[in-house]
Amino acid sequence: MNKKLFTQIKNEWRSNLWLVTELLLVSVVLWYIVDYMYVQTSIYNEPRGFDISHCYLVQMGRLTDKSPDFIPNQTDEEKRQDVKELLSRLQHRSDIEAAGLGQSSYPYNGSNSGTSVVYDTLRSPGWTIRRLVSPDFVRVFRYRGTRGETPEQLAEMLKHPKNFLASDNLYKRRYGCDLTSLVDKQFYLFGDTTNTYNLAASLQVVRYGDYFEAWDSYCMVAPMPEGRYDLGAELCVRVKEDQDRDFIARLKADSEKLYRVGNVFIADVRSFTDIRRNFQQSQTNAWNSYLFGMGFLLLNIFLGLLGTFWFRTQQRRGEIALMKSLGGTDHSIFVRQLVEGLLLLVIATIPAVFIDWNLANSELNVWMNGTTLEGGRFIMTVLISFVLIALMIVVGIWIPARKAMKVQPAEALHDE
Amino acid sequence: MNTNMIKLYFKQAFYQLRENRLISLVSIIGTALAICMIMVIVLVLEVRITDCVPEVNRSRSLYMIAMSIHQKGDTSDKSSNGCMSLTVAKECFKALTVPEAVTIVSTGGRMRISVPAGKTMTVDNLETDDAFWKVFSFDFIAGKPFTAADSESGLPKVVLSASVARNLFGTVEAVGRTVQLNLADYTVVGVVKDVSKLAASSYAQIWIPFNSTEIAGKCWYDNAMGTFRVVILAHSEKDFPAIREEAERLRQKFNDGLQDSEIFYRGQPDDRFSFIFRHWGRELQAKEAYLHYLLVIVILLLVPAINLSSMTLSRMRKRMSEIGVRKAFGATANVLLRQVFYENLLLTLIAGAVGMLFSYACTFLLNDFLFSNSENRTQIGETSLSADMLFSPWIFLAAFIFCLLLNLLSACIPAWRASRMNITDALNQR
Repeated sequence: MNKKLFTQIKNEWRSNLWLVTELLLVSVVLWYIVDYMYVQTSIYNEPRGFDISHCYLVQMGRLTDKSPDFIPNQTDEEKRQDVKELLSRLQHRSDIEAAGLGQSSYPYNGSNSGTSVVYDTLRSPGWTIRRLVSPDFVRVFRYRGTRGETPEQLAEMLKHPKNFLASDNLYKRRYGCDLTSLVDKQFYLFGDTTNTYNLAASLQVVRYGDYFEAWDSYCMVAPMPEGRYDLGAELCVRVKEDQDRDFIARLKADSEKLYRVGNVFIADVRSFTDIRRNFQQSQTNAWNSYLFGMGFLLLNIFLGLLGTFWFRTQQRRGEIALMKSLGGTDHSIFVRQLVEGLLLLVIATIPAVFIDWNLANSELNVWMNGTTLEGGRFIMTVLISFVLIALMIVVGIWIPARKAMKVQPAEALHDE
Repeated sequence: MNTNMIKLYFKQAFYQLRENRLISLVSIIGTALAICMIMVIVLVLEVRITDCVPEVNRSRSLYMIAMSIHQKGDTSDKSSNGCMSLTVAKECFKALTVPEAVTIVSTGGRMRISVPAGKTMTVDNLETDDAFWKVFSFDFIAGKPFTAADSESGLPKVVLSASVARNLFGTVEAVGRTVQLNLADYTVVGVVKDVSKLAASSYAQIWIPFNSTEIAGKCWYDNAMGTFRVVILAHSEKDFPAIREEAERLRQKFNDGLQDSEIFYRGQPDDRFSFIFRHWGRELQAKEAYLHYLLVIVILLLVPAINLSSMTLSRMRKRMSEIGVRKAFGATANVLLRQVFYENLLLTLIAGAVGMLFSYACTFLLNDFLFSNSENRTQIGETSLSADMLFSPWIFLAAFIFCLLLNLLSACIPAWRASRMNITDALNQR
């Protein structure tokens, strides 16, 4: 039967050529989309190294001379004290679990600073993010050490100004060594070669955002110097687990009475869920666009096969009737139509895989783990796109094939 | 050819379409989807690129949204990245002489606004200068913008959007009234029509002079990094190279004044297109973005075209005997070709209309997904689309050309083949 099917496909090569061309084009484009989604999903599901649930960003403001309550002629020291006092009051608030300050440090942050972490001849990559924070910052975002250090223990370590923490992977790519083995060693930081700092703990990799892979996310965390406790710092808080409800409204309501310190006041409170959504909107949009593109292509495959096979069953009425009268069952005729469509897909898939492989080899698709072509990922993505198209073919041929099943031999052959 | 002939062709075509209901439906949906997808892409791009109130000068504007700073002579990737401080904005951009105007704008934030012993609400605010009102063109319902003098000395003057004014005072006639912004008294000098969030560079609900708050004090790294952006309005697009050159001179001058560090812009200031496609201040290849769009549109066009061709071919095969009879009675290849062409033209016209409707429905229904971006995602206002943004003749023309292209691609090859068919072959359905 299969041989006959091949002969038939060959005999109708002209209209099959269109179908195969379409399947080939769609296979390649769909593979590209599936590959993109596969990579994004894998990256999204990697451990983040931080936790923003129950977290809020408190934006501070400072009164100006336009306000009747303005305290004039403050020294810089007094201004810093106000910020510190606000931080301390928030830390003591009953529904807040932890509050910390940072500079270009909170997750999903558009602003960042790079720095170098140097040990002996080992040097971290240039895009190692520098996070200057107050000790409790690591408790707010629940950073964890590779040797099981809790956020509380890490916070304790940051109380010493010569201590610092760093992601475990800083030297992994260049030198193949984990930072865990260098804990308690002395490092040079910030391009300063006169002072050394102690690596107090190695951190589980902290990613820059949901779509930045751990493989390429580097960071170090150091105590924020006194001079930076200012309005430019980011004030982040984690509320206790059951206190999220109306937290923003409650804090705002109390802000005038309880949290006006000198000239400093709370200007706005935003949840990190919001900040994250904002930060990642372009990636979310790209994802949605690809999803729409995929839907469009699959729908086209469906329509194309539906249309073409509709004609074919009409055209082959006589043939189908003959097959039936010679003992073909409804089922065998139905299957024959499906197999014909799937065979076309297999024919198209062979060159498609070749093209996909070349695309990946020329690094035209997305990167993950420093490459565009990985065996497992390639096989997975080719398979997924094959199955998706195959499904559409089955659905598309279903309707005409059912019609073919119902051909009445006597009636159809009567025409002849 | 006279009109009667055309009428006849269309009539024939119409009966043909009715005859094969399922196939006609499949063809129409396929084409309509393609047109819809392409229209939506063009529409979204258009809304973001072409002028709309108050951003009426987009084509001659340059944007500086982020900057970088690193140690002098550093060759590693180490740098600090973010918005600029007021110092940089003033010395490196406000000092430009080539452009018509340069405005310094804060990255939007939120403020609490209240009327003494009255309502309180949270609003999106922008802190800016008097040049803002020149670079962008707002519709003032009442009053006027704050002046250069107001901006310079940081007088507490505020411009409200109409909906904020209505919410606080119950009327848009709010000029001269007092509001409290983050605990300080401000005088309302103007009320403007609400701005859509789609105008990402100028959108806010209230606008105040940046000198009236402490925002300039939020700066770090040699006072270079901060919370400001810059929009430069050139006299014409032709001045862009000259402006970039001057900005580069000012940048070097600024760097000469820094001890160990230097600032750099990663290819900015950007024109409108680059501004939209820039990701996190990475260096941008506008050419790549163009190519990307071209490729997407070609694929969106090609897949349904192949689909339609394949179906037209099948339809032709089914009608071989009909064609054979017509040829036997003396119809020329030309006449047959024309008939097939009209059939497909009618089909694509119907599909075009359906696709157009689809695309407008999509734009309104998927407003949030299509138009939200990292700029405006969590702002309070609306991404309202005005009719003049959507119903532009340019888009109609584009859609029509797409229809025609699709039609030609899908119909002509099979039609041409059918018309060349040998009569006996055709009659025997070979």
